[in-house]
Amino acid sequence: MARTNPDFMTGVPELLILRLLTEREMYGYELVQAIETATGEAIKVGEGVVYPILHALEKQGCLSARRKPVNGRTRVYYTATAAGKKRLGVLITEWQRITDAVSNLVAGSVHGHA
Amino acid sequence: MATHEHLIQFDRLEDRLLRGGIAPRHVRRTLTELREHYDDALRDEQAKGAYDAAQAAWQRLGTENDIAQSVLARRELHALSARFPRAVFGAGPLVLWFAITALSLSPFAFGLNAAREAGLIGPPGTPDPVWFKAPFSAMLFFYLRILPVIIGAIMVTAAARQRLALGWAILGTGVIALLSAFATYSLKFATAPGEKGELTLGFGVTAQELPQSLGMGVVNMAIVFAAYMLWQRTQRRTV
Repeated sequence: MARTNPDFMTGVPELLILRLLTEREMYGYELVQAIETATGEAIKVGEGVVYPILHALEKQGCLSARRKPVNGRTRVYYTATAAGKKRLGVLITEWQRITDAVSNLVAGSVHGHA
Repeated sequence: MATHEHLIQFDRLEDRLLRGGIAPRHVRRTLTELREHYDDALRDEQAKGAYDAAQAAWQRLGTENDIAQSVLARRELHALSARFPRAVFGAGPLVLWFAITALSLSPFAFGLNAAREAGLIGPPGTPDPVWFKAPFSAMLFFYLRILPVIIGAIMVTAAARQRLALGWAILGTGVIALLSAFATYSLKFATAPGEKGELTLGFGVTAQELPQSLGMGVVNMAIVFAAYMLWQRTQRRTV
C-alpha cells in the first residue's frame, strides 16, 4: 500500500489544492496526480481524502465546481475563486511563518551541536 | 468496473456517512466522485500491469475509515436536520404548513379584495366573480387537508433517508395530521354589491364531530406511513 502522511499538518492539503487550482481547473483524479508530480511524490495523501476537502472549500466559496462531459463521462472540474485566491494568500503566509520558525530552530540546534 | 467487494465497501461508506449526519447530497456527490476516481485508478493500474489492479486501485483511495473520518470532520458538510433534529423534524412540519398556507392564501384573499376595490373585476363593490369560488375552495381544501399529509410524508422519508431516528419526524407529523383533522374554515363570498368576502381559519371540534376528526387524523397518519413504506420498498429494489 502506498505510504501516506496521515499526521500531515492541518491546512497543508488545502494550501496545495488551492495553489494548483489557481493555475487551471482540474477534476479530483487529475488534482491528486498533480499534487504528487508537483511535490516530487514527497507528499502522498489517501486519494479519497481529497474530495471532502474540495467539497468543504467549495462550500466556503473558495472553489467553484462545474460538470463537464469528457469522453462520454461527466467529470466535476474545480477552480479557485477570488475568495480562494485570498485564502491561499493567508495559508501561504501562515505556512511560511511556520517553516521559518522550524528552519530557525533546526539551524539553531545544528549550530548548538557543532 | 468495481469488484463486488468494493461495491459493498462503497455502500457501507455511504451508510456510515449518512448515519454520521452528512447531508445526503454531499454523500451522493462524494460517492459518485470516489467511484469515478476508483475507475480512473483501476485503468491506470491495469495499464501498469498491476497483479491485482482492482485491489491496488482501492488501496490508493485510502482506508474506509480514513475517508469516513475526513468527511465527518467537515462540519460544513453536515445536514442541518442531523444537527437540529428536534427543530427540523419536530417543529418543522407545523412551521412549514403554516408558512406555506399563509403565504399562498394571503395573496388570493387580499388580492381579490384589492382587485375589487380597484375596479379591476368590475365597478368597485362588484360581488366576487363566480369562477373564483370553486378554485379558491379547492385551494383551501388542499392546504388544510392534503398539504399536511404531503409534508408529513416528506419529513418521515427525509429522516429515514438520513438514517435518523424517526421519533421526532413521527411526532411532528402526528401533530399536523391531528391539527389538519381539526382544522375548520368558513368561506363567505361577496354575493351582492357592497358586500365583502370573508375567510376564517381555525381549529376546533364539537363533541359530535370528535370521532370523525380523530378518524381523519388516523387516516392522515396512515397515508403518511403508506408513502413511507412505498419509499422504503423502492429503496430496497434499487440496492
